[in-house]
Amino acid sequence: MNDITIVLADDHPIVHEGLRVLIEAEPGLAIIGEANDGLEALRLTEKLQPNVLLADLAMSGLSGLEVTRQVTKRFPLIRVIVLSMHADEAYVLEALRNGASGYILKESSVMEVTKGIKEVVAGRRFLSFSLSQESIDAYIERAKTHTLDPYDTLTSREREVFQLTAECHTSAEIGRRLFISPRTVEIHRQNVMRKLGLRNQGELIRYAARRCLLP
Amino acid sequence: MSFRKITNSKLHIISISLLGVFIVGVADYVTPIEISLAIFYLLPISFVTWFAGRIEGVILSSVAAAIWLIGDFLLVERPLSYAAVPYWNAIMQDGVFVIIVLLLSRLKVALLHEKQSSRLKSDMLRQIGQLNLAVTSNFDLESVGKSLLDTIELFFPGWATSLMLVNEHSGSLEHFVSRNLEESKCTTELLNWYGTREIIKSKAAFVQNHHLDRRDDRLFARMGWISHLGLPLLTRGEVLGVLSIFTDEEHNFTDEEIAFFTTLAGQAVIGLQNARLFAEIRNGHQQLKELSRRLLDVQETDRCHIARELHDEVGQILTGLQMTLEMTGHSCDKEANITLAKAQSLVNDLIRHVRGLSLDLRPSLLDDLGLLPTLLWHMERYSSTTGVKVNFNHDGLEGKRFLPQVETAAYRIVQEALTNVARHAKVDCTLVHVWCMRDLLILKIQDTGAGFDPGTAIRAGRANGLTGMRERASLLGGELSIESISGTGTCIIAELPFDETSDKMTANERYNDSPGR
Repeated sequence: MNDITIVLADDHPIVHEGLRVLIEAEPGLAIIGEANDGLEALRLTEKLQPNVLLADLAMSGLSGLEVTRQVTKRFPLIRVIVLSMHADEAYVLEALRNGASGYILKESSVMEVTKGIKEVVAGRRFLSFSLSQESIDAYIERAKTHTLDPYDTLTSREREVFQLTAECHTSAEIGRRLFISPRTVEIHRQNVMRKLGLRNQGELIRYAARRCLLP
Repeated sequence: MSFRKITNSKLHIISISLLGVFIVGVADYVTPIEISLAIFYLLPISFVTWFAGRIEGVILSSVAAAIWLIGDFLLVERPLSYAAVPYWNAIMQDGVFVIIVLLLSRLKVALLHEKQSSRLKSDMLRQIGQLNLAVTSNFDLESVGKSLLDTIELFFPGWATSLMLVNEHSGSLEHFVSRNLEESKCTTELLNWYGTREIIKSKAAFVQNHHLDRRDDRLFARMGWISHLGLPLLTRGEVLGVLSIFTDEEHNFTDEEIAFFTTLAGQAVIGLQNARLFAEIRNGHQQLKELSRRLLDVQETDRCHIARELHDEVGQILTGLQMTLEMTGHSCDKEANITLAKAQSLVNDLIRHVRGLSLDLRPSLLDDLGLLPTLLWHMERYSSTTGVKVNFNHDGLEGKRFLPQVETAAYRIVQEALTNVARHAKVDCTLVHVWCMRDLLILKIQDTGAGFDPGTAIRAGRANGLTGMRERASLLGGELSIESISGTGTCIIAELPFDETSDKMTANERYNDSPGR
């Protein structure tokens, strides 16, 4: 069986050196290229066509996420593993969304790196042991967009102005009732229209009627 | 026909007066000679003098005297001591009438003059009042100067005026605004003119009623300016500037006019000073705002730099150290292995600690992944450390990137608001909503906790966090409203305007653009 070919990209010399020693100590793995920044990583990967690209997330020149995105898009056969110091699900998710097959924390044990390389070459996804699919799913759930009511963005003063405007009071009248100047009323009214996406008083009244805000 | 209409036409007046004189003459004739009706002739004569003029009055006087003479001849039949007596009497009569006519017309002229001058005075007063209003309601230096010259032009069209001001910094006199004087080198000439120098030296008005004919004056004379009045603009004994007025024909400046112009100049001084003070305050305010923006910027940049240094440099070295330890472990005996494992766990603690420190300073997520992941991460961490559950909802935020300063401000505002909730609200649950709509990013952080009075808190200076949030919002041109009532909770709504075009920047470009890289 042929060795698994690897391009290693990490811009930090100590970690880079550590990883190289570690991988070379493992039989069946061969480092065929080493890059010190994102752009070099991209160039080497294109030239050498390795089985696996091990890319640091935080690289100068081009971030690991961007390298991952470009490599997986252009060379679908090359597996990318992102190495990172961030255990946050947001980073993991972002890496996976950019096409990474694996996400390995730098603090995890040496074993994980070699195991991860073999796993992704076998076509499976690999995450560091301390990361779990459940927590990523939970994150996706939390990150989901909700439909929020723009009416909730109004401050209580803006609500008062909105209500009185919808009841067809003039700025001067509203100002007298709320003890503010007509100019201030006008500013509040414009703000309300802007937030609710209304263009004129007619739309404002229709909006109020639709929402049953009129007495 | 109304009285006014009659008095408007000379012909009417004269005919009516003639008729009057004739009637009096007839009456004189029919009444016994002993009764003198001479005084009644004065009625039409006064009438014609007042409304038609002096000459007409004198002529009518003569006509009346003639009629009286005719009457005398017709009535008197007895022999007279002298034949000339009736003539003499008629001339006497005429003389009295003429004297009255002259006095009356003089009186009328004096009255008219008085009326005119009082009208002029009230006009001047009104103009001073208007200038006062213009000057006090306007905080713009240039419009104050223009209103002053406009007022003068209104009264004396065709005159040339120039306002020169002393430069606050250099102390030299500079041309500010002028009327009818721009067409030549006059404005620059005026600055060095001996008259102007005299005004500054004596701090008093400089009047030149006669022709400007000194050698120095020739330029002005050539341009057609004849008399001159110069006034210093004084404030607390200091010369603020000079107002110069040139007339297009020879003019004697009266004391009244000088007093009028001095009053105008006084009004202008108030306005100019207001305008200068206002400009100073505005500049100060601007500087303060700029300073506070720079302070926030520097703070953020420093935090970002230290956070990255900790995370990337220190963190990576520690990672390297840990790898080395792990590999050493493979080739050691059992006892050394236990010690190494201990060291490894210490290094792990250190890595975690450094990372925590770095994230506290500024989460790298904010630069790498944007606002939403950062907020999600922060709330997770916040809930686990404070025990306060965050009910977080967002709309229109997913996959969206804003300008770094908008993301930073939004994150810091939410962070500060949540810290306040944990510290003061005494609740176990809080609500955070974030909207991204059109060109506004709106944050709402609400709790149903203890609440406070925002006014007193900010005034008492106990709310650095609140002012900081306000500051961040207003620096982006946004707004932040704090509504809080003791006992019912707090609601903070921040509106941050953002530029849609910034979305097009990819995450990666931003990553590399971010400070500290």
